[in-house]
Amino acid sequence: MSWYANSEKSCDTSVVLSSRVRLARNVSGIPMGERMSDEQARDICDRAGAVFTGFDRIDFDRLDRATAQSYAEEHLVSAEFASSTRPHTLYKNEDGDVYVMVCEEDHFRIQSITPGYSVRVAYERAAGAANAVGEAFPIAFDPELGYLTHCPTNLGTAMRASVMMFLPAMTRRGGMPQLSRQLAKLGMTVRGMYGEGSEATGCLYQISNQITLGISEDETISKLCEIVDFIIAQEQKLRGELASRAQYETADACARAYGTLTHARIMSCREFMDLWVDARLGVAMKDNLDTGIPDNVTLSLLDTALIESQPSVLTLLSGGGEMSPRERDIRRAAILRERLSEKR
Amino acid sequence: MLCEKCGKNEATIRYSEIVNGKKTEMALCADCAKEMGISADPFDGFGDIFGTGSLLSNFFGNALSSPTRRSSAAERRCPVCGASMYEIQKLGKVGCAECYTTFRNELLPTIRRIHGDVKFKGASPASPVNDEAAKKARELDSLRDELSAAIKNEDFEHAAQLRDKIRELEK
Ligand SMILES: [Zn+2]
Ligand SMILES: [Zn+2]
Repeated sequence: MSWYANSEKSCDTSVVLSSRVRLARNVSGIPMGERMSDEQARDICDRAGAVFTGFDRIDFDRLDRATAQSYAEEHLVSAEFASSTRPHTLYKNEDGDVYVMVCEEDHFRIQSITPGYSVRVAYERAAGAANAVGEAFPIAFDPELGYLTHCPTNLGTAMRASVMMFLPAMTRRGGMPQLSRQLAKLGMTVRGMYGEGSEATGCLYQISNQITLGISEDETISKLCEIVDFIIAQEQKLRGELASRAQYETADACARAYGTLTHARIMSCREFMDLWVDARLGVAMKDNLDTGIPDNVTLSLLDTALIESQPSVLTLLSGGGEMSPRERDIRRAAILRERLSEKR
Repeated sequence: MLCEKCGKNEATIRYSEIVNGKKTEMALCADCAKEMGISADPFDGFGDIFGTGSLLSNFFGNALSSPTRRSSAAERRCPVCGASMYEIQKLGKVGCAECYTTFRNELLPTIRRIHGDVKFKGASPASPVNDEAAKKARELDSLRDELSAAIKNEDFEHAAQLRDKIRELEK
C-alpha cells in the first residue's frame, strides 16, 4: 500500500492528497556526493541494512531504467536518485510509509509519506527512522548549525515538511502566482508536481518549508499547517462559488472528462492530465454537483490512475518491454477504461 | 578549475587582457600569476568567469570577498574530504560535514543569506525525539483505530466526533 492507494483510510483527500516529511542525516568523517568513493557509498548502503531490518532493500544502481523511474513517478524517490549510477539504495518499510534513500546527495534521506493531511504523523514516522540511523552511525551535528548537510540550504533541522495539494479552483482563478509570492515571504515554497516550469499540469502542488535553520521541527510543522489550512479554506471557498455560480457548466466539464477517460482509445499523457483534473474535481464535489460519475470511482481510484498513467509505471504494468509513445497512449486508454468504468 | 598555464595548481586568479579590441581571459594559479607579474585582486569577479555550478553558487558569491581571510582560505583544504573553499563555492555544496568546521568563517555569511538566523533550534542527536509530536502521533493512531471500530459498528455520531478530533490533532 502506498500514499495514493489509501481506500481503507478514513481521511479526506479532496484537497490534500498526502503529507510528507523528509529528514537528511550524514555520517561524520565520510565525504558526501561526488567526493564519496563508490566503496564508501556501498559500505553505507550495506551497513544501513542492519538498521532497517524488515525493510525491503532496493539497490538502485542495479535496477533497469523503467523500474528506477517508476519510483520517481510514484513520488517515492527524487528524480536525481532514480537516475544516478553511483551505488545508492532505497529501504522501504512494509507499511509503505517510510522510505529511506541511502547515498542520495546526503548519506541518508529519510522520508515518511502518509495519505491525506497528516504532517505530524509523517514527522513521527520519519523521526523514528532517523533516530534508528542515529543509533547506528555517528551523525554529523553542530550545536550552532544543527544537522550538517551536503547543501547549506538544509542545515538546522534538515527537515523538509510538505503536503501535496489539489488546487483546481485556485489554479483556474489565476491565484497561483500570487500564492507563490506570498509563500516566499513566509519562508515557504510551492512547486507544481507535474509539468515543466510555470506550466504546471494536474493542478497538483507541493507546499513545503524553505527555511530549516533557526526554527524547530514543531514550529516548522505548525507554520506549514497554518498556511495549508488557509489554502484549503480558499480552495473550498472557490469550489463553493463554482457550485453556486456555474453549477451546470462545472458538472458538465466534470462529466465530459469522466466520459472521455472511460471511452477513449488513445490517450496522451497531456490530455489525460487535463481530464483527470476535471474528473477529480467532480468526485471531490460530488455532494454539490450532479456529474453522474459512479460511486465506485473514488478519489483514491483516480489518484492510482494518475500514477499508473505515468510513462514508466505504465511500461512496467504492460510487462516492462520497450514501448513507443503511441503504444503507451493506446495502453493508457485501455487501463483507464478498465480501472475507471462503472462497477456495480 | 586548474590553472590554464601550468595545468597543475588550482586556479585562483582571473586574468583578462584586451588585445586588438578582443578580450581574452585566463584562469591562473597564484604561482603562475606571480611569474607573469600579475598582481590582480585574486577574488575580483571570481564568481562570474568560472560559470555557476548550480543556482546556489550565487549564494556563495561573496563568501571569499573579505580581504583578511582571502589568501588562507584559498589554499586551505578540508582535512577529511580535501575540498577547497573554491570547490565548495563552485558546486554550492560542501564536500563533507567537516567542511563546515574548516571553512566556518567563510560559510557563515552564506548560511545567513539563506536562513537569516543561525541559531539552531530543534531536536538533536542527544535528545532526538520530539516528545510532543510523538505523543500526538500515538494519540492519532489510537483515535484512527477507534474511528474504524465506530464505523464498523455504525455508531456514526461517535465516528463524527472522532473525525473532528483527528482533524484537530492532525493540524
Ligand atoms: Zn599555474
Ligand atoms: Zn570536507
